[in-house]
Amino acid sequence: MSKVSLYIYTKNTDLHAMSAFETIKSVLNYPYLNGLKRYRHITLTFTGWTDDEARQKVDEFNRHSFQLLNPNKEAALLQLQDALVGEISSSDLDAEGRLLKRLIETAFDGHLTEVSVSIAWEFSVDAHGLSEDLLKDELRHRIIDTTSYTQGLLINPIYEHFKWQISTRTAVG
Amino acid sequence: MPRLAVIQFPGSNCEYETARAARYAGFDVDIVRWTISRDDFHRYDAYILPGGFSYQDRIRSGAIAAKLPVIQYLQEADTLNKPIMGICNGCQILAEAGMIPNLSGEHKVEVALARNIKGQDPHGFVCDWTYVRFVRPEKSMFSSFIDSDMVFPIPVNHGEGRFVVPDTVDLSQCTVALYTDASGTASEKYPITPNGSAQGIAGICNQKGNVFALMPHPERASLLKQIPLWIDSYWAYEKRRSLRLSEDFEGPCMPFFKAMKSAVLAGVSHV
Repeated sequence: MSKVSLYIYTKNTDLHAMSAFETIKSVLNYPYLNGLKRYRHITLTFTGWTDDEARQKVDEFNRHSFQLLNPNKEAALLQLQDALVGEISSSDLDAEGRLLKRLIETAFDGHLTEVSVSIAWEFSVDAHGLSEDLLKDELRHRIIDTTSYTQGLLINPIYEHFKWQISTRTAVG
Repeated sequence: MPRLAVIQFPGSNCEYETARAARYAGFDVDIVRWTISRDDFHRYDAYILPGGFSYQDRIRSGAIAAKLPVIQYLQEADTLNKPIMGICNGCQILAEAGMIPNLSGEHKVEVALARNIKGQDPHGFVCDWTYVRFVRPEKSMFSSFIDSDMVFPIPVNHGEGRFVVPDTVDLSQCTVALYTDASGTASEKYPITPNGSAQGIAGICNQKGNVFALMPHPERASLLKQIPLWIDSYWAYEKRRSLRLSEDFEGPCMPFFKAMKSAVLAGVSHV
């Protein structure tokens, strides 16, 4: 089994991220956020191919199809390094993944077994003396989980789930 | 004459027809901007958040608008029991701001509006006529005049209109609008509920009965001339009868706006 991860971002200004950043800084008054990027994270799981083969097939697919990303306005990274990244999942995004799989699976000759879609937010934050765990707790409480007018923005915990990426290193300070 | 503010956000697109419906109901109506000052805001007796796409639905529909200072003023108006109606995007903003159903009384986010689904699949934007009926209408100042078996034809236009209600949220003391068929039978199934909404919910009133958030558009069914002839309703028959006349007759949803006015004139004492 092999997986190909694509972190898709807009080449031009991402209006979602821009508005989120402005709202966090100027309305929620959280001063420690220095930057915010948003990615659409698509993970394709294949059977019967090595990682290299799978990546090659996805590259080939992206050259003649806009279904995963539109190269006129989007580009993709294979992984996010040295960053504080959190991912949003929801039943809506799960449904989007299932639909996407149905749309593209014939192009992969039966090797594609699963497609998952999530939204990844990459934070650039001033740690202001906090440890990584405390900083993550503060971010969850102040700008991520929307619980009231004054708290949270990036997810609605009623139907969206948030988790920090485990494999990343924190870039703070 | 009571004064009503229709609050315009960047991206609102139903403010003028909403203002017209409220004007017809007898309000002195102003369309005010989201940047209005607190003093100016509190000069009004009632408020409507109209439909549209505030801030282009960035992040989630209503998420950014729900963080603006004007929402704090709106929460202050809620504590004074002034009538507040949110239509479509206004409904999404009220949910994101924790103003419905507000069971805690602290404006905590208790329900959400997620993207439309049909079965298990994404369903995209819906644009259609639906029917709604009210459960416990007597608990809201917007519907205390109606019977629970009355059916209202009303249009929907949204991509994120699926109410998500956690099991811990008990709506049994709130007025709830349900999607029904033309005869008033509620069902969660498509096409009666066009968006996969939990329990087939189309709208929720807060527990106090003064804040009403509705995904369908009552302002687009407030005059008889807005009702299409093809729907299965008494109102289509009424429209046929009125076609020869040039007068503007009231449509099925005008009473919601009139109820807001009655509440203001009665001193907003529903609670």
